[in-house]
Amino acid sequence: MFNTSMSYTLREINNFYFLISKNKCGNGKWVYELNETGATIWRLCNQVKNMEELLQRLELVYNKKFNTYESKMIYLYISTMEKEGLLQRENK
Amino acid sequence: MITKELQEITQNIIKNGRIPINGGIELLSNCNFKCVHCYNAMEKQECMSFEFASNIANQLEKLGTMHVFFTGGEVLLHPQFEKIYKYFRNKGIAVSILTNISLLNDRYINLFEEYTPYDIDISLYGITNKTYESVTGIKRGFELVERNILKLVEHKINFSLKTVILKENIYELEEMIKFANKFNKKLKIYTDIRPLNNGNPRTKEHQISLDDIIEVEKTTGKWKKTSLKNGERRKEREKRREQGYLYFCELGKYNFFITYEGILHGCVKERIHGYNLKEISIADGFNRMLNDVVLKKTEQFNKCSICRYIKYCEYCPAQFELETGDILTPPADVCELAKTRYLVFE
Repeated sequence: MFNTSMSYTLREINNFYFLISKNKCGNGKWVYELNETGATIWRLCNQVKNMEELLQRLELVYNKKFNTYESKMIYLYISTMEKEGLLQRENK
Repeated sequence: MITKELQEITQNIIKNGRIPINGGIELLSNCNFKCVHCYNAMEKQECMSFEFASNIANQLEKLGTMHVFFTGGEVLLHPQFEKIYKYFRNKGIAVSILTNISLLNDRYINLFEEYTPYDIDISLYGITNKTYESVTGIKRGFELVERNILKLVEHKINFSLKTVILKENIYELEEMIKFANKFNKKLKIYTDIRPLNNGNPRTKEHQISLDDIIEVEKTTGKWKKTSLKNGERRKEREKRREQGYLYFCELGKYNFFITYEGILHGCVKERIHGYNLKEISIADGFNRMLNDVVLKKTEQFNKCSICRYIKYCEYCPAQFELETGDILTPPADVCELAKTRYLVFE
Protein backbone atom coordinates (compact mmCIF):
# COMPACT_ATOMS: atom_id res chain seq x y z
CA MET A 1 0.00 0.00 0.00
CA PHE A 2 2.77 2.44 0.90
CA ASN A 3 6.07 3.20 -0.69
CA THR A 4 8.58 5.23 1.24
CA SER A 5 10.34 7.82 -0.90
CA MET A 6 13.57 6.49 -2.37
CA SER A 7 14.96 10.02 -2.11
CA TYR A 8 15.12 9.81 1.67
CA THR A 9 17.13 7.66 4.01
CA LEU A 10 16.33 7.03 7.66
CA ARG A 11 19.26 7.51 10.02
CA GLU A 12 19.48 6.88 13.73
CA ILE A 13 22.10 9.14 15.29
CA ASN A 14 22.72 9.19 19.04
CA ASN A 15 19.10 8.09 19.70
CA PHE A 16 17.69 10.73 17.36
CA TYR A 17 15.93 9.71 14.16
CA PHE A 18 16.19 11.65 10.94
CA LEU A 19 14.83 11.31 7.45
CA ILE A 20 17.52 12.86 5.30
CA SER A 21 17.18 13.70 1.64
CA LYS A 22 19.73 12.07 -0.63
CA ASN A 23 19.48 14.73 -3.30
CA LYS A 24 18.18 17.92 -1.67
CA CYS A 25 20.44 19.79 0.70
CA GLY A 26 21.20 23.25 2.03
CA ASN A 27 18.23 25.45 1.19
CA GLY A 28 14.72 24.24 1.94
CA LYS A 29 13.50 21.20 3.83
CA TRP A 30 15.90 18.28 3.58
CA VAL A 31 16.04 16.89 7.13
CA TYR A 32 13.02 15.68 9.07
CA GLU A 33 13.41 14.73 12.69
CA LEU A 34 11.20 11.82 13.71
CA ASN A 35 10.43 10.32 17.07
CA GLU A 36 10.93 6.63 17.67
CA THR A 37 7.34 5.76 16.68
CA GLY A 38 7.73 7.78 13.49
CA ALA A 39 10.87 5.85 12.64
CA THR A 40 9.09 2.54 13.32
CA ILE A 41 6.20 3.58 11.08
CA TRP A 42 8.65 4.51 8.30
CA ARG A 43 10.37 1.12 8.58
CA LEU A 44 7.06 -0.76 8.51
CA CYS A 45 5.53 1.15 5.63
CA ASN A 46 7.28 -0.90 2.94
CA GLN A 47 6.30 -4.15 4.63
CA VAL A 48 2.54 -3.79 5.02
CA LYS A 49 -0.36 -3.99 2.56
CA ASN A 50 -2.75 -1.53 4.15
CA MET A 51 -3.42 0.79 7.04
CA GLU A 52 -5.04 -1.95 9.12
CA GLU A 53 -1.97 -4.14 8.79
CA LEU A 54 0.23 -1.20 9.73
CA LEU A 55 -1.78 -0.66 12.91
CA GLN A 56 -1.63 -4.36 13.72
CA ARG A 57 2.13 -4.45 13.27
CA LEU A 58 2.54 -1.35 15.41
CA GLU A 59 0.38 -2.90 18.11
CA LEU A 60 2.69 -5.90 18.07
CA VAL A 61 5.79 -3.70 18.30
CA TYR A 62 4.42 -1.70 21.22
CA ASN A 63 2.53 -4.62 22.75
CA LYS A 64 -0.68 -2.68 23.21
CA LYS A 65 -4.07 -2.11 21.58
CA PHE A 66 -4.43 1.39 20.15
CA ASN A 67 -7.50 3.38 21.13
CA THR A 68 -9.43 5.51 18.62
CA TYR A 69 -7.41 8.63 19.36
CA GLU A 70 -4.07 6.86 18.89
CA SER A 71 -5.22 5.24 15.65
CA LYS A 72 -6.37 8.65 14.39
CA MET A 73 -2.98 10.13 15.21
CA ILE A 74 -1.26 7.42 13.18
CA TYR A 75 -3.59 8.10 10.22
CA LEU A 76 -2.77 11.78 10.54
CA TYR A 77 0.95 11.05 10.70
CA ILE A 78 0.76 8.96 7.53
CA SER A 79 -1.18 11.64 5.72
CA THR A 80 1.35 14.33 6.77
CA MET A 81 4.18 12.18 5.46
CA GLU A 82 2.27 11.79 2.20
CA LYS A 83 1.78 15.54 1.90
CA GLU A 84 5.50 16.11 2.48
CA GLY A 85 6.26 13.66 -0.33
CA LEU A 86 7.92 11.20 2.01
CA LEU A 87 5.36 8.45 1.39
CA GLN A 88 3.29 7.41 -1.58
CA ARG A 89 0.28 5.14 -1.69
CA GLU A 90 0.74 2.43 -4.29
CA ASN A 91 -2.90 2.47 -5.44
CA LYS A 92 -2.88 6.20 -6.21
CA MET B 1 29.90 26.32 6.36
CA ILE B 2 27.10 25.05 8.53
CA THR B 3 23.91 27.07 8.61
CA LYS B 4 21.85 27.56 11.72
CA GLU B 5 19.36 24.83 10.94
CA LEU B 6 21.96 22.09 10.64
CA GLN B 7 23.92 23.57 13.52
CA GLU B 8 20.87 23.34 15.78
CA ILE B 9 20.28 19.73 14.81
CA THR B 10 23.90 18.75 15.39
CA GLN B 11 24.06 20.62 18.72
CA ASN B 12 21.12 18.54 19.93
CA ILE B 13 22.61 15.30 18.72
CA ILE B 14 25.95 15.78 20.48
CA LYS B 15 24.23 16.42 23.79
CA ASN B 16 23.66 12.63 23.81
CA GLY B 17 27.36 11.84 23.45
CA ARG B 18 30.57 12.44 21.54
CA ILE B 19 30.35 11.43 17.89
CA PRO B 20 32.19 12.65 14.77
CA ILE B 21 29.29 14.79 13.65
CA ASN B 22 31.13 17.05 11.22
CA GLY B 23 34.37 16.71 9.34
CA GLY B 24 36.53 17.30 6.34
CA ILE B 25 37.79 14.89 3.75
CA GLU B 26 40.78 15.74 1.59
CA LEU B 27 40.08 13.89 -1.64
CA LEU B 28 43.40 14.62 -3.31
CA SER B 29 46.56 16.67 -3.01
CA ASN B 30 46.74 17.92 -6.56
CA CYS B 31 45.44 21.30 -7.69
CA ASN B 32 45.29 23.11 -11.03
CA PHE B 33 46.04 26.38 -9.19
CA LYS B 34 49.43 26.99 -7.63
CA CYS B 35 48.50 29.55 -4.99
CA VAL B 36 51.33 31.39 -3.31
CA HIS B 37 49.77 31.10 0.14
CA CYS B 38 48.50 27.50 0.02
CA TYR B 39 49.52 25.27 2.95
CA ASN B 40 49.41 22.18 0.77
CA ALA B 41 53.03 21.25 0.04
CA MET B 42 51.85 18.86 -2.72
CA GLU B 43 54.86 16.63 -2.13
CA LYS B 44 52.92 13.74 -3.64
CA GLN B 45 50.21 13.88 -6.26
CA GLU B 46 47.73 11.31 -5.09
CA CYS B 47 43.98 10.81 -4.96
CA MET B 48 41.87 9.02 -2.40
CA SER B 49 40.39 6.00 -4.21
CA PHE B 50 36.65 5.49 -4.53
CA GLU B 51 36.96 2.21 -2.62
CA PHE B 52 38.63 3.94 0.31
CA ALA B 53 36.26 6.94 0.23
CA SER B 54 33.17 4.72 0.12
CA ASN B 55 34.51 2.71 3.05
CA ILE B 56 34.91 5.99 4.96
CA ALA B 57 31.32 6.96 4.06
CA ASN B 58 30.02 3.59 5.33
CA GLN B 59 31.81 4.08 8.64
CA LEU B 60 30.76 7.71 9.02
CA GLU B 61 27.13 6.84 8.32
CA LYS B 62 27.18 4.33 11.18
CA LEU B 63 29.00 6.75 13.49
CA GLY B 64 26.41 9.49 12.91
CA THR B 65 28.23 12.05 10.76
CA MET B 66 25.77 14.62 9.44
CA HIS B 67 28.03 16.82 7.33
CA VAL B 68 31.40 16.65 5.62
CA PHE B 69 33.30 19.07 3.44
CA PHE B 70 35.33 17.82 0.53
CA THR B 71 38.60 19.61 0.01
CA GLY B 72 41.91 19.09 -1.74
CA GLY B 73 43.83 20.07 -3.77
CA GLU B 74 41.05 20.93 -6.14
CA VAL B 75 38.21 18.47 -5.62
CA LEU B 76 36.74 18.84 -9.11
CA LEU B 77 40.03 17.50 -10.44
CA HIS B 78 39.43 14.14 -8.78
CA PRO B 79 38.64 11.58 -11.52
CA GLN B 80 36.01 9.87 -9.33
CA PHE B 81 34.58 12.98 -7.69
CA GLU B 82 31.03 12.34 -8.97
CA LYS B 83 30.98 8.75 -7.76
CA ILE B 84 32.34 9.64 -4.32
CA TYR B 85 30.03 12.63 -3.93
CA LYS B 86 26.91 10.60 -4.84
CA TYR B 87 27.97 7.81 -2.52
CA PHE B 88 28.14 10.16 0.47
CA ARG B 89 24.82 11.79 -0.43
CA ASN B 90 23.11 8.43 -0.74
CA LYS B 91 24.25 7.66 2.79
CA GLY B 92 22.36 10.75 3.99
CA ILE B 93 25.52 12.76 4.66
CA ALA B 94 25.36 16.44 3.64
CA VAL B 95 28.38 17.51 1.59
CA SER B 96 29.97 20.93 1.17
CA ILE B 97 32.50 21.39 -1.61
CA LEU B 98 35.55 23.61 -1.19
CA THR B 99 36.68 24.58 -4.66
CA ASN B 100 38.25 27.25 -6.84
CA ILE B 101 35.34 26.54 -9.28
CA SER B 102 37.60 26.86 -12.35
CA LEU B 103 36.86 23.28 -13.44
CA LEU B 104 33.08 23.47 -13.30
CA ASN B 105 31.58 21.91 -16.43
CA ASP B 106 28.13 20.85 -17.65
CA ARG B 107 28.54 17.41 -16.13
CA TYR B 108 29.13 18.91 -12.69
CA ILE B 109 26.26 21.36 -13.20
CA ASN B 110 23.94 18.42 -13.90
CA LEU B 111 25.30 16.58 -10.88
CA PHE B 112 24.73 19.55 -8.55
CA GLU B 113 21.24 20.07 -9.94
CA GLU B 114 20.36 16.46 -9.28
CA TYR B 115 22.20 16.19 -5.96
CA THR B 116 22.30 19.61 -4.33
CA PRO B 117 25.46 20.20 -2.30
CA TYR B 118 25.06 21.67 1.16
CA ASP B 119 27.34 24.46 0.00
CA ILE B 120 29.82 25.16 -2.77
CA ASP B 121 32.40 27.20 -0.93
CA ILE B 122 34.33 29.10 -3.58
CA SER B 123 37.72 30.71 -2.99
CA LEU B 124 38.00 34.07 -4.68
CA TYR B 125 41.52 35.41 -5.15
CA GLY B 126 40.90 38.78 -6.75
CA ILE B 127 38.73 40.62 -9.16
CA THR B 128 41.06 40.87 -12.17
CA ASN B 129 42.96 38.39 -14.30
CA LYS B 130 46.21 40.08 -13.33
CA THR B 131 45.67 39.53 -9.60
CA TYR B 132 44.47 36.00 -10.19
CA GLU B 133 47.65 35.24 -12.07
CA SER B 134 49.84 36.69 -9.33
CA VAL B 135 48.10 34.58 -6.67
CA THR B 136 47.26 31.35 -8.50
CA GLY B 137 49.64 31.33 -11.45
CA ILE B 138 46.65 30.89 -13.77
CA LYS B 139 46.20 33.13 -16.79
CA ARG B 140 42.71 34.62 -17.27
CA GLY B 141 41.74 33.01 -13.97
CA PHE B 142 39.18 35.60 -12.92
CA GLU B 143 37.36 35.37 -16.25
CA LEU B 144 37.10 31.63 -15.82
CA VAL B 145 35.89 31.83 -12.23
CA GLU B 146 33.38 34.59 -12.93
CA ARG B 147 31.95 32.66 -15.88
CA ASN B 148 31.49 29.57 -13.72
CA ILE B 149 29.93 31.52 -10.85
CA LEU B 150 27.44 32.92 -13.36
CA LYS B 151 26.66 29.36 -14.45
CA LEU B 152 25.85 28.45 -10.83
CA VAL B 153 23.59 31.48 -10.57
CA GLU B 154 21.87 30.59 -13.85
CA HIS B 155 21.19 27.05 -12.60
CA LYS B 156 20.17 28.26 -9.11
CA ILE B 157 22.88 26.22 -7.41
CA ASN B 158 23.75 27.47 -3.95
CA PHE B 159 27.28 28.72 -3.28
CA SER B 160 29.25 30.96 -0.95
CA LEU B 161 32.35 33.07 -1.48
CA LYS B 162 35.44 33.44 0.64
CA THR B 163 38.83 35.03 0.21
CA VAL B 164 42.22 35.09 1.83
CA ILE B 165 43.64 38.59 1.85
CA LEU B 166 47.26 38.66 0.70
CA LYS B 167 49.80 41.28 -0.29
CA GLU B 168 48.87 40.42 -3.88
CA ASN B 169 45.13 41.09 -3.63
CA ILE B 170 44.49 43.45 -0.71
CA TYR B 171 43.94 46.41 -2.99
CA GLU B 172 40.99 44.55 -4.56
CA LEU B 173 39.23 43.74 -1.28
CA GLU B 174 36.54 46.37 -1.68
CA GLU B 175 35.81 45.20 -5.23
CA MET B 176 35.68 41.59 -4.11
CA ILE B 177 33.11 42.50 -1.45
CA LYS B 178 31.06 44.29 -4.13
CA PHE B 179 31.41 41.30 -6.44
CA ALA B 180 30.01 38.99 -3.73
CA ASN B 181 27.22 41.45 -2.89
CA LYS B 182 26.18 41.37 -6.56
CA PHE B 183 25.10 37.76 -5.94
CA ASN B 184 23.60 38.58 -2.52
CA LYS B 185 26.54 36.87 -0.82
CA LYS B 186 28.55 38.06 2.12
CA LEU B 187 32.22 37.54 1.35
CA LYS B 188 33.95 35.57 4.09
CA ILE B 189 37.32 37.17 4.63
CA TYR B 190 40.39 35.51 6.11
CA THR B 191 43.81 36.98 6.77
CA ASP B 192 45.51 34.05 8.45
CA ILE B 193 48.27 32.41 6.41
CA ARG B 194 49.56 29.05 7.50
CA PRO B 195 53.00 27.69 6.74
CA LEU B 196 53.22 24.74 4.37
CA ASN B 197 52.11 21.52 6.06
CA ASN B 198 55.75 20.38 5.98
CA GLY B 199 56.68 23.41 8.11
CA ASN B 200 58.18 25.53 5.32
CA PRO B 201 57.30 29.16 6.15
CA ARG B 202 57.52 30.58 2.61
CA THR B 203 53.74 31.15 2.41
CA LYS B 204 53.98 33.68 5.24
CA GLU B 205 55.88 36.04 2.92
CA HIS B 206 52.52 36.80 1.33
CA GLN B 207 50.77 37.71 4.56
CA ILE B 208 49.60 41.31 4.79
CA SER B 209 51.04 43.61 7.45
CA LEU B 210 49.71 43.69 10.98
CA ASP B 211 48.19 47.13 10.38
CA ASP B 212 46.44 45.87 7.26
CA ILE B 213 45.07 42.85 9.13
CA ILE B 214 43.57 45.21 11.72
CA GLU B 215 42.06 47.39 8.98
CA VAL B 216 40.54 44.34 7.29
CA GLU B 217 39.14 43.12 10.60
CA LYS B 218 37.57 46.53 11.20
CA THR B 219 35.77 46.06 7.88
CA THR B 220 34.57 42.56 8.72
CA GLY B 221 33.59 43.34 12.32
CA LYS B 222 35.30 40.11 13.38
CA TRP B 223 36.05 41.28 16.93
CA LYS B 224 32.86 43.20 17.62
CA LYS B 225 31.81 42.82 21.23
CA THR B 226 28.60 41.03 20.22
CA SER B 227 30.42 38.37 18.25
CA LEU B 228 32.90 37.89 21.08
CA LYS B 229 30.41 37.49 23.86
CA ASN B 230 27.83 35.38 22.09
CA GLY B 231 28.00 31.80 21.20
CA GLU B 232 28.30 28.53 23.01
CA ARG B 233 31.52 27.83 21.18
CA ARG B 234 33.29 30.80 22.73
CA LYS B 235 32.02 29.93 26.20
CA GLU B 236 33.24 26.37 25.74
CA ARG B 237 36.65 27.69 24.63
CA GLU B 238 36.90 29.83 27.76
CA LYS B 239 35.95 26.88 29.95
CA ARG B 240 38.55 24.61 28.38
CA ARG B 241 41.23 27.27 28.77
CA GLU B 242 40.44 27.67 32.46
CA GLN B 243 40.50 23.90 32.95
CA GLY B 244 44.04 23.67 31.58
CA TYR B 245 43.39 21.80 28.34
CA LEU B 246 46.00 22.17 25.63
CA TYR B 247 43.46 22.79 22.89
CA PHE B 248 40.83 25.38 23.76
CA CYS B 249 38.82 24.71 20.61
CA GLU B 250 36.53 21.79 19.83
CA LEU B 251 39.29 20.05 17.90
CA GLY B 252 38.59 16.34 17.76
CA LYS B 253 35.63 16.63 20.06
CA TYR B 254 32.96 16.37 17.40
CA ASN B 255 35.04 17.21 14.34
CA PHE B 256 37.60 15.35 12.30
CA PHE B 257 39.70 15.59 9.19
CA ILE B 258 40.83 12.77 6.91
CA THR B 259 43.73 13.29 4.51
CA TYR B 260 43.91 11.83 1.00
CA GLU B 261 46.44 9.36 2.42
CA GLY B 262 43.83 8.09 4.87
CA ILE B 263 45.15 9.67 8.04
CA LEU B 264 42.55 10.78 10.57
CA HIS B 265 43.22 14.04 12.41
CA GLY B 266 41.24 16.28 14.75
CA CYS B 267 41.13 19.08 12.21
CA VAL B 268 42.82 20.33 9.07
CA LYS B 269 45.52 22.13 11.06
CA GLU B 270 46.34 19.51 13.67
CA ARG B 271 48.79 17.09 12.07
CA ILE B 272 50.63 16.04 15.23
CA HIS B 273 48.31 13.16 16.06
CA GLY B 274 47.30 11.02 13.13
CA TYR B 275 45.56 7.67 12.95
CA ASN B 276 46.08 5.54 9.88
CA LEU B 277 42.66 4.43 8.65
CA LYS B 278 44.26 1.70 6.57
CA GLU B 279 45.11 0.05 9.89
CA ILE B 280 42.34 1.06 12.27
CA SER B 281 38.67 2.08 12.01
CA ILE B 282 37.44 5.67 12.24
CA ALA B 283 35.70 4.73 15.50
CA ASP B 284 39.00 3.51 16.99
CA GLY B 285 40.90 6.57 15.78
CA PHE B 286 38.22 8.89 17.05
CA ASN B 287 38.27 7.16 20.44
CA ARG B 288 42.05 7.45 20.70
CA MET B 289 41.78 11.11 19.78
CA LEU B 290 39.77 11.68 22.95
CA ASN B 291 42.77 11.06 25.21
CA ASP B 292 45.50 12.18 22.81
CA VAL B 293 43.93 15.49 21.85
CA VAL B 294 40.58 16.42 23.38
CA LEU B 295 41.43 15.62 27.00
CA LYS B 296 45.12 16.45 26.71
CA LYS B 297 46.26 18.91 29.33
CA THR B 298 49.50 20.80 29.22
CA GLU B 299 52.35 19.21 31.16
CA GLN B 300 54.26 22.47 31.43
CA PHE B 301 52.96 25.90 32.30
CA ASN B 302 51.05 27.34 29.36
CA LYS B 303 51.64 31.07 29.37
CA CYS B 304 48.92 31.53 26.73
CA SER B 305 46.29 30.30 29.19
CA ILE B 306 46.74 33.38 31.35
CA CYS B 307 47.51 35.85 28.57
CA ARG B 308 45.34 38.97 28.80
CA TYR B 309 45.11 39.10 25.01
CA ILE B 310 43.96 35.49 24.56
CA LYS B 311 40.43 36.56 23.60
CA TYR B 312 41.92 38.15 20.49
CA CYS B 313 44.35 35.40 19.67
CA GLU B 314 44.13 32.70 16.98
CA TYR B 315 45.58 30.33 19.59
CA CYS B 316 46.45 27.02 17.93
CA PRO B 317 49.13 24.76 19.46
CA ALA B 318 49.19 22.69 16.27
CA GLN B 319 50.14 25.72 14.24
CA PHE B 320 52.60 26.87 16.90
CA GLU B 321 54.33 23.50 16.68
CA LEU B 322 54.57 23.78 12.92
CA GLU B 323 56.01 27.29 13.07
CA THR B 324 58.22 27.27 16.17
CA GLY B 325 58.71 23.56 16.83
CA ASP B 326 56.96 23.82 20.20
CA ILE B 327 53.24 23.52 20.88
CA LEU B 328 53.42 26.08 23.68
CA THR B 329 55.52 28.68 21.91
CA PRO B 330 53.53 30.94 19.64
CA PRO B 331 55.34 32.79 16.86
CA ALA B 332 56.04 36.42 17.77
CA ASP B 333 53.64 37.78 15.11
CA VAL B 334 50.70 35.87 16.62
CA CYS B 335 51.29 37.51 20.03
CA GLU B 336 51.82 40.91 18.47
CA LEU B 337 48.59 40.65 16.52
CA ALA B 338 46.57 39.59 19.57
CA LYS B 339 47.98 42.51 21.57
CA THR B 340 47.21 45.01 18.81
CA ARG B 341 43.68 43.69 18.44
CA TYR B 342 43.19 44.07 22.18
CA LEU B 343 44.34 47.69 22.05
CA VAL B 344 42.17 48.47 19.03
CA PHE B 345 39.00 46.48 19.67
CA GLU B 346 38.66 46.08 23.44
